Amino acid sequence: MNPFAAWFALFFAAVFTQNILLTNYLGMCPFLGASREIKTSFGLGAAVVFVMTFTTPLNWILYHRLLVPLGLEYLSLIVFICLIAAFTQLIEIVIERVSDALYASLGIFLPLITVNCAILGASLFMVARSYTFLQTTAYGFGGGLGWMLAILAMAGIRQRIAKNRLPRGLEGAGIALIIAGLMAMAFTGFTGITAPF
Amino acid sequence: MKTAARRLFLENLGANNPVFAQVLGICSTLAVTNRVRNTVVMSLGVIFTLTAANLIVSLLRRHIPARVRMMSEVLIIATFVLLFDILLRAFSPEISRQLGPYVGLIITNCIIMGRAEAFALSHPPGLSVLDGLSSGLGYAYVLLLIATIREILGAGTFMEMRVLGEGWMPWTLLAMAPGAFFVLALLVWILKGWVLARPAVEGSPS
Amino acid sequence: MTPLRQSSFRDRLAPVLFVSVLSALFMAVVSAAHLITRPVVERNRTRYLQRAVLEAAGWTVPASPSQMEALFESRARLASEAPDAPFAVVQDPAGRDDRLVFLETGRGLWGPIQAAVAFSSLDGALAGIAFVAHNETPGLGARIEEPTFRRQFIGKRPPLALSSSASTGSSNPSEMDGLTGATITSQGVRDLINRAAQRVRPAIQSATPTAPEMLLDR
Repeated sequence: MNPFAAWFALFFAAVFTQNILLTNYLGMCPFLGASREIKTSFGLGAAVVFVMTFTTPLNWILYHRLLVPLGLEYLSLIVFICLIAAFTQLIEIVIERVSDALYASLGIFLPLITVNCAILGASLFMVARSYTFLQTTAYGFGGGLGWMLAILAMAGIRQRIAKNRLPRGLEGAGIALIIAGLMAMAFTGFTGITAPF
Repeated sequence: MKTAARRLFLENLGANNPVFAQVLGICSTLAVTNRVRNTVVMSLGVIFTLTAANLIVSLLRRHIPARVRMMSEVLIIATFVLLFDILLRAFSPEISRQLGPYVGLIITNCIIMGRAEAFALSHPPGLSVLDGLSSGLGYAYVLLLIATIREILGAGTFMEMRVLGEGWMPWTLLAMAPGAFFVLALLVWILKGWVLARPAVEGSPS
Repeated sequence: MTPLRQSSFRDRLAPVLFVSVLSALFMAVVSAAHLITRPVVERNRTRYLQRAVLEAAGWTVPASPSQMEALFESRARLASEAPDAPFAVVQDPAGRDDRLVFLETGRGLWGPIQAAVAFSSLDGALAGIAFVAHNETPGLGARIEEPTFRRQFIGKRPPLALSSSASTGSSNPSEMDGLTGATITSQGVRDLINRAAQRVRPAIQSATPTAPEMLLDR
């Protein structure tokens, strides 16, 4: 198939059929802890999209152009997480200098991103599945978008039920987990769609 | 000091439990708890990393420049996780194969980073080690509870030994992620709603 | 102004220096551990490969590594490195024909699945499969390692399709059963078997140049 369609097929799969949160269960902590409101979830999701879109290809370059030629693949975990931490730190500094509004809506989430398993997980999968650079761009962008989609859906549901009375002990984490379970069940339905790659 | 240490220990196991009270470390909870054996190994890895990282961070706490605080913590944690992974791969290859990517993902286990930030940076090494140990144990027993339920009902085995009869139709949903969510939700509900809850006192702040 | 600029320069340098020293130190520690354990890891990897090759060919492999290595020495030989040639040729336990074993990789849910796929050198039918490496979820995708799943492939003729009927144990030689709750893993296994099968045909033709045409009726 032509390269544009192939890129899009992988992108589509990364958002839906292989959603990094609901299929590979990565990025749960902020998903469950910080998803009460749509506004904050949007900020968090946008930050994840931004960081994942750039760090995954950057890690590809580091892995295939530096670690592999030197035979240092076993250090990839440390190198990846360092790049992610450095990148988020850098972006936070830049945003802080450039725009107060942007910092208020996006910048405060950046420290949380470093420990988001989804970001590191995306890089690890990129290596395990031997993606090309082009495929990595599709996967990084799609993965982040998929994560944002999931957290927005979760926030929407939680906002809806915010005024409802829940059994004692179920507020907060409890109900979020049940919602997540139902969403995960729904997303397993996507596995029937075979992607042409 | 003794009572403070004991209170810390008990709190990390109960009221401040990283999994069901702070809702941290969930990624690995879902992925690993469908087999008790893997949960045991993962718990050991987390306890090891938590304790060691807390110790080093606490020892270095007056020397870490503020700007690179997070990055240094991440480096320290990553090192111990990698060491654990290497040791596992060399001496227990069967289990290493089963745990696969999850060992590497211990680095992003929010509990470890969370405790380093919230505790080890501001407390002496002795208490930090205790904090790491108790948080790890708090994580471990919750995961083992979930894993027991999921493995017995989802596969009919416990620690790879068949426990339920051959005719048992396994509840496959429990072996998948939705099952983990639901079991954890149930556990959180029971623990927060009954075991930890105190009777409401009139006029007290909510 | 000057004292401020000086201290700010040192402020910016110190953290970078700190992180660099820390990184170098930790990378050294990790590298040391890696290098020390590398021989053990390599040996484990070779053993897994040999065990999978023997199992795929139909042998009941003894648990002890030294006995397994002895069995491999006596019954298997590594074939050439050419892409069309099998990875190894193993004697059939019943002594009838040789088993051509290919190493093939498929895409699972959590990463690549590598398997040893054995074909009969007489008619190209599947003789068995064993998994070398995978990262699938224990209790779900990882169940592809179970003998009950692997047994179904004996005698089947690729290309295989996933059976859509609810009952298990399909006797259709072109169908395979998937695993409940592990669709992506099952698809990965199907794809890798079919890919391995495409490599068998030329291998059989070159291995048995006088084989009658009617055996290769596809």
